[in-house]
Amino acid sequence: MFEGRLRWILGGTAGLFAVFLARVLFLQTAGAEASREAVESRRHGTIALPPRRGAVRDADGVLLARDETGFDLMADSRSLGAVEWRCGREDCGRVCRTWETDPGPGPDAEPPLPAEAPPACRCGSTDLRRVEGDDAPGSLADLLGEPPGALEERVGRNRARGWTTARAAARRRGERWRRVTLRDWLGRRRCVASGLSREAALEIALDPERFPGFTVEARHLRRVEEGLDPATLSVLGRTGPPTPADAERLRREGLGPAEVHSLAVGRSGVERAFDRDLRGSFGTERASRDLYGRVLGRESVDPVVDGEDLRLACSSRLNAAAEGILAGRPGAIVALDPRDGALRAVAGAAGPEEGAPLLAGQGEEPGSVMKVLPALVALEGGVAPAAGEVDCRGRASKPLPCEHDHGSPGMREALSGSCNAYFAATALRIGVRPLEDFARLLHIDRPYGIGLGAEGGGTDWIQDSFPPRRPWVRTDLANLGIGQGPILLSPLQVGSLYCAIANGGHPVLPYLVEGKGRSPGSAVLSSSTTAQVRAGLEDTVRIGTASNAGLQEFRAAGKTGTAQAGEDAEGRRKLNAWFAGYAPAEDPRIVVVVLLADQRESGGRAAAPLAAEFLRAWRDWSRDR
Amino acid sequence: MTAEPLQVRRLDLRVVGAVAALAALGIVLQWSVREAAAEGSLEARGGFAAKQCQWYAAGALAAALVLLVPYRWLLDRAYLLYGAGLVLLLAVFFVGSSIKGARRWIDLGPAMVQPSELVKVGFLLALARYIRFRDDQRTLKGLALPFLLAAVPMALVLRQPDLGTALIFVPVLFAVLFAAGARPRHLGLVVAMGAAFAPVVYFVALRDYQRERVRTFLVLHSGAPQEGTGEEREYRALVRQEGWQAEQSRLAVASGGLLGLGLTRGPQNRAGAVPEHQTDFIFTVLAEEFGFAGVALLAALLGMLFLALGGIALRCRDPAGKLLVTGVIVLLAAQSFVNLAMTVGLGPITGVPLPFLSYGGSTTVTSFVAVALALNVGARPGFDFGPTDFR
Repeated sequence: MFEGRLRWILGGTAGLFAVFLARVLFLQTAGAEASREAVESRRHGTIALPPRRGAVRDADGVLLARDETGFDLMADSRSLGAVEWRCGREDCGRVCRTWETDPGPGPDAEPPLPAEAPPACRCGSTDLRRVEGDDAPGSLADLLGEPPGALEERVGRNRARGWTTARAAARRRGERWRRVTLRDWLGRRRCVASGLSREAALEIALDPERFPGFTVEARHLRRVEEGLDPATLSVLGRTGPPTPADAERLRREGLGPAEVHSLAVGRSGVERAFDRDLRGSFGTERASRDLYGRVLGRESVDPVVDGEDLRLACSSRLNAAAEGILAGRPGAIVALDPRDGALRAVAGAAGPEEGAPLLAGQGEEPGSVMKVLPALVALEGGVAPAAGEVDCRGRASKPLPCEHDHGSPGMREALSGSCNAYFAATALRIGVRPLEDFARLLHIDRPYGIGLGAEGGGTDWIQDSFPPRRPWVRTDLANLGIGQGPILLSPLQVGSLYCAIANGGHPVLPYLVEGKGRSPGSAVLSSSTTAQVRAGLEDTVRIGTASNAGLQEFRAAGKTGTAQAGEDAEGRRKLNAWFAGYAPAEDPRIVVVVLLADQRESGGRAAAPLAAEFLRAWRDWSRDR
Repeated sequence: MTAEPLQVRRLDLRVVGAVAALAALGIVLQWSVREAAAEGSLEARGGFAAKQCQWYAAGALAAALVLLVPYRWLLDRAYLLYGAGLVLLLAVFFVGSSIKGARRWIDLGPAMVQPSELVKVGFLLALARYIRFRDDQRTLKGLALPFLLAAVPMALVLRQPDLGTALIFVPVLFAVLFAAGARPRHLGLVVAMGAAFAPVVYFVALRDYQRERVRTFLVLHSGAPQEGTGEEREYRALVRQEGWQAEQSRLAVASGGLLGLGLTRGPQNRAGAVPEHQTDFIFTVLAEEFGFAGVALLAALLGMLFLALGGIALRCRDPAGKLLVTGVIVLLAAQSFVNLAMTVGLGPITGVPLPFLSYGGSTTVTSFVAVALALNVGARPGFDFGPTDFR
């Protein structure tokens, strides 16, 4: 019998050890990786430091937008009632925590029950003293630079508010108060202090043992200067939390989910177009902790790289002046530096309502301001009709009627008098392809995408995609020569075209941010070509269609344009009134394009005087600079 | 003294080999604890490895002395030894030293002696001595005195307080009675009565911290409650305060993986994250640094030891010897299992060391003496029939 029973005992022992081995095997296979990570995360905590978003200034150095990244101290309501006890043993001095007990939800918000001291410290000592007020180790009050007790008071207020909110929410749901559970308000994090310094934020975030229940959240605030004109605001653009599409893009750039969550991204304008430069890159701070989670030391793994400060090419003062000149009328004023394409001023929207898109980047029928393109191409190709080759008989002219009888003009007269017959005939001589090629060389073939909102326009058309959807006929090509029909150009593109004329044939790409533009390319037009066109443009201001606009004062040169843009409700023609030019004529420093939409007057009457007004503002501005 | 010479060729070399291998493993682990410890820390200053070697030497010496004395001579004086153990236990309350809130040690100058360890051997001898000439353990009434034999030292140990060591008496008593022929239904009845009295014991006999440990074990074992509830807050507080050791121990064991992180390379060992990792939680060092391979080696060595001891018990023809060896097996197995189970979260945390591996003089010497008793039985196969030979 003994043998049998001993075998039972040995078998039972073996069974128990088999259970133990199975448990160890389970822990060491299924739980190994997670446990190693848990051990590592306690020993080393890393935290991503959000960068400061770059500031944006205008050409005059006026601060337009700056970053006010702040850190908020969030309290987890679960640990709001934590009470600390310090071990009285000299060589220990550990801090243990207990919690005030919530009596649970009831009709009257009862005060929490006081916390009981823990039975013993981990070292075995039972000599535990409650830590209060100023005695609190490295208390939050010290870090926040607040008087002791202020934070506790706010925390207490939040706690009470939590109850009230939970009760109100329960009532809204039509539930009795008694059914409100602790879950309704526990675990909800509330901001109890804001505007923490980065150093204080780091100290709290890296040391959860010391500040249990408190976390730090980065809060991005973009402070935009007050009193900016709508155009500058539109150019500057907005920031906001990332949309799902933004989040996906940022993740592809290698940012982690927490980083994406804590980031503000540009939504429009320069903020969007230069988001990556402005954003900077996250830094990583690492803390090594002892086995109780207390921070022993800190090191910076990756320094945080703050976003780049940007300086716009345009001046908010000029923008405001341009806005004033437009006085709410639908239209646009664009001013460029012809030497490099810097966008000095931009103003005007599609409508008077707030937030209407800027017209500066949108494609419109250019009308006669476009005539310089066939002029340049024809001169460059040696096919420009000489004086006497084209007969202009006013409305009876072929292939297109003209407003006036220009006789048999040469290029210079045709430009200053804006002769439709001449440029229609020129376009027919050139053909579509060379026009397209030169438009591409002069960078007016497609939108620039510099962050002016919905940009459009460009000569990059294809034959069968342009309405009306029918094969091209001679009239279409003739219309193209005078800027009507199958073409839309934005004021910005028109400005770019005139920059090339003003600077001797070098194509420019407009840019909004200093240091982010491309230098002008080598000349694509011969000096004799630009000289002939410039002579025609100077005549326009002197004796031509813009002679009554007051532009002579600035020794300006330019071209007016009047494009038919449909009819209004009463059946009257709506016109786009244009003026594009530069000043001073002998050494151009500024290119200005004015567009007034929905006009009944010609470009020479409606738009050119506004250009003169703008040049006056520009002259004052450049004198003050 | 009965002139019964030791038959050296009958010494079970598997037992000797297993114990030697376990002791070698113990030295390696103690060395790892010292090497991994931070400069100037308690572990580094204390030099547990060197001291543990001394304890192994002392254990071997004590074992040799026990082997020289015939076990029957010891059995004849079993009650005396048992009584001496009880006196020592009582003495603890008057002259004992207190460490970490528990009064368990008597300071003898060069060494601290833990009578609760030594009394286990006395209890084993007394139990074997009492049962060998009887068969009334087959009746319910006959179980009373063996239970009293166990209850007295248990109560004294529990007052120290040392719940773990006190509980070790229970499986030893049950196993020896079961081997001696006690009826399973009687033992079952006792277990049922014990279960019925458990709440009384829990609330009356246990200290606050012991109750806390049991509660911690139960709460931690039921898993993390739903987030945002009051229970979760309690759970977190418990993990923070009471469950620390259990949680760190589980992390250390699990992070070892199948092959371990390498000797002295375990982060938990290096950080000293598991309190008492050189004594009660020495297994965490083994599991972390040698992985499941090391655990399997330990299990194999323990298995070899218990099987070899079982072989001695089966070969022995002396009922007292059989019971003594059975008691030794169950004593070592129960201690090992309670210790190992606590490190992997299968049981509550108790102060039971792992035989042959944990640092400590009393436990090492007691384990060596216990094994020496079993070897003594195996090497002195004389006949000494009891009246019934366990029907």
